[in-house]
Amino acid sequence: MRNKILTISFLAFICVFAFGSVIAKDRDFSDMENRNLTKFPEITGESIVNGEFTKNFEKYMSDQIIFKDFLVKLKVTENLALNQKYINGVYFAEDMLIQDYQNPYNQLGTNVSYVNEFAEANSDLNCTWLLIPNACYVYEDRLPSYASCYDQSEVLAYIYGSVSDEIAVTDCFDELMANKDEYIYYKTDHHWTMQGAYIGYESYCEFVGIEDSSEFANNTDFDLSDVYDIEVASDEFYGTLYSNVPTFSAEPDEVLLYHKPDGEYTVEYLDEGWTSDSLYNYENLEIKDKYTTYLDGNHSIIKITSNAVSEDNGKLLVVKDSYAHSFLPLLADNYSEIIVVDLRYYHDSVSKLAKENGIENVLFINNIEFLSTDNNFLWLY
Amino acid sequence: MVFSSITFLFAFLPIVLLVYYISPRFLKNFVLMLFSLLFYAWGEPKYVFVMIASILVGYIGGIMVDKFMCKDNVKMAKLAVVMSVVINLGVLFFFKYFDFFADTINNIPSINIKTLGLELPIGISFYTFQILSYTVDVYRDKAKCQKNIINLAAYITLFPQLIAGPIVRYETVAEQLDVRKESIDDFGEGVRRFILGLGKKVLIANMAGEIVDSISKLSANDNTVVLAWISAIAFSIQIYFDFSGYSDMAIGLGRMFGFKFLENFDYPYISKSITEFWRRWHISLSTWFRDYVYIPLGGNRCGKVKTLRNIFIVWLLTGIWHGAAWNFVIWGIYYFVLLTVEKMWLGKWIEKMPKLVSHIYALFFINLGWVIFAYDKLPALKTAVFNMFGLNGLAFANDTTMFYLISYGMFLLIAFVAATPFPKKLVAKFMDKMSNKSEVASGLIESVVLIGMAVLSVAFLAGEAFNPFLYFRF
Repeated sequence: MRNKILTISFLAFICVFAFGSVIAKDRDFSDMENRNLTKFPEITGESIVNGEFTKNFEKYMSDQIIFKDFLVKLKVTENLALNQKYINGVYFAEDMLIQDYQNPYNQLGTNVSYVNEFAEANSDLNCTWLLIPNACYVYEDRLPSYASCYDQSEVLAYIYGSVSDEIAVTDCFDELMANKDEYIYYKTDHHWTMQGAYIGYESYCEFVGIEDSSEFANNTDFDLSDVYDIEVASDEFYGTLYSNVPTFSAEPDEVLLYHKPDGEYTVEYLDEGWTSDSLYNYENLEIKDKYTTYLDGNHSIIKITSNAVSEDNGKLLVVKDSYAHSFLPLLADNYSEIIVVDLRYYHDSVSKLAKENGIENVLFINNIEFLSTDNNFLWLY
Repeated sequence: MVFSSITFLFAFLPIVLLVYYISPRFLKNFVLMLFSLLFYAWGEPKYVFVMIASILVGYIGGIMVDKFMCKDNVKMAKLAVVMSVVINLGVLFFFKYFDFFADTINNIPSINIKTLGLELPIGISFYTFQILSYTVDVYRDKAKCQKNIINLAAYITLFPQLIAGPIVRYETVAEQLDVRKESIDDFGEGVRRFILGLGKKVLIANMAGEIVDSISKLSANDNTVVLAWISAIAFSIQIYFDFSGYSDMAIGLGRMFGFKFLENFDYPYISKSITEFWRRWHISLSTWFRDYVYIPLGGNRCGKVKTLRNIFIVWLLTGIWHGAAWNFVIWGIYYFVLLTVEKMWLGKWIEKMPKLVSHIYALFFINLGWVIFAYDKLPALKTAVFNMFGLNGLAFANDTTMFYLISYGMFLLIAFVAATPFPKKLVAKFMDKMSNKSEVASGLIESVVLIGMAVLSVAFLAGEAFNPFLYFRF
């Protein structure tokens, strides 16, 4: 009897997954994991002989299996049940997920020297570099017991020590640390929030001596909402870290958008040839990666023009990573024209771009993790 | 293809089961052979022809041996066996050992043999040994010659045991190839075994493998003596659950098609001596070497010196059977020394020791053995051993060590318990009690638990967890 019941259960188990996966429509994209899923591989004589077909078929099977999202969450849940708080490069820290950060120096040194070379070769340009820590630095105390990330303040000291005189370096490590009780990093994503970006913006403005909203700080009644209309655009944001380690019980993040009441903007997405009069792409609030609401996410080159309601400091060229996306909407009020390039996608000469547009001021914006791992700084010339 | 994959579970297995069970009796072996070839060709489209050639050699060899034996021409029969053995071992040598051999010889100045850089055909060590046993068994008159090439090919290629054993002897399944009866009881038994094996492989071995992998990536600053031990212990867990899980799946799958294979593992980590360990570990391999190498060499019947020589040969071969690298040679000799010491002196003492002491003694050397096994580059092996005994100046423990202990302590504890017969006994007791009350209820409870384990395993596979295959060398 026991064998009969087990036989039937097992056959049912196989059939549910086998038929279910056949019947269920193949998905192009997993929202939860934030990645493209493998499609049914093409069958050719060549692909069969060289083993390409079978390899892709296996990927296809595990990507398109029915109940995939449930299964992935189940896996992470079992890890957690065994008291494992470091999964897929992400720490389950107190109240938030934190991306791991380790041993930076190889790529970091290379990247710093690329930036140095650029600044020295273009001494007519005023180069400024804003460095931003990651959550693993600010919230080190929230990591699981005995877990630790590489100390980013050491990395910062290293950069200050090895950077060229041609570059004015600044950072917002202490400022962010002082505001750690605020909601400055997402709980489920590896970026800073717009609140965090505002703190970075303040410290940048102070460093280069331009006017920001902090003058209101001298006013005891100062409140950010006096300066900006703050919109809670979404409270359903599950970010990239969640995609790495999805669980059944994770709490979503909020996406906040800051609006200057009198600000007027034009954003030209030069790589894709379209224009918007908003710094935010509201359509992206509907998709999984809601951080792309800020300036529509990754683009090789965009141009932001504005009426510079705070103060017009002219033109600026920004070379950045994605931490700049929530930062630049604030900076747009201080420059009437900002050209923004991302070296991961923009492979033309940056110095030529500056000359052609008559730009003298260049701002590099990088978070430490990106600066330590990205290998596209070689495109900086 | 491997069993622990979504493709096998939800594409290959349902189709082969369906086709097998709707096929008429006379086609069943043919169906098995066809699907087994597909199973093999899945990951090795080219090398399937190597295997087919080896099978043909074995088949023709068997027929010739049989013919000559019938005519009482023992000399010619012997020649046929020798030819079959030489050709099959030659193929194995060519693919598995040629480069190792060439690299070693090239150390002599003025010799420069080109290495081939060939990938190893998966499972070649397993199926070669099965073909050898077949021809030899026919010669020894232990088995009848298989005249039907489909049946012989079905035996050699039988996908449950094709890639990672157990090494099924021809005599074990000779009868079953011609007449076997599938039954729902066998099928249920097979399912039980298969799911347990799947769980062992996916839930325990893979996670243990992750521990080994992540510790190996730590910088020298973070590494400690304790972590070196955790890594070694995790590898011991990985290799046992990986290999015995695979054998369980093989035995279970065989059962679903009506085959009864012999057991391959018998809780090796509860051993109290190295001798006992090798009676419990990879039984099909040690008995193979006993019956086809040790005993033909004279076994222990020709005096102490020859016995020692025979044991040495067996362990040297066992070592290099596991891989073409020096660490496997060392590993084989390591066990030769341990077993000899136990046989000559230590054996009597061990019996008198308190159980706990002999158990710790055995586990210590088994664990150290797996460290030798794990590193096929000798400098890395030296570092690993030195790390374990604090000879590289590593700290004893640090925060990273504590973090590993917190993260994996519970898992390791579960794995320790799972390596003993204790859970099985407990479950059997519980099931007996339940069955007495209600047969259906006990069946349902068991099914829920086992299918739950299968779903959890699938979750780990779908989550693209670490799923390495330890047996690519064999």
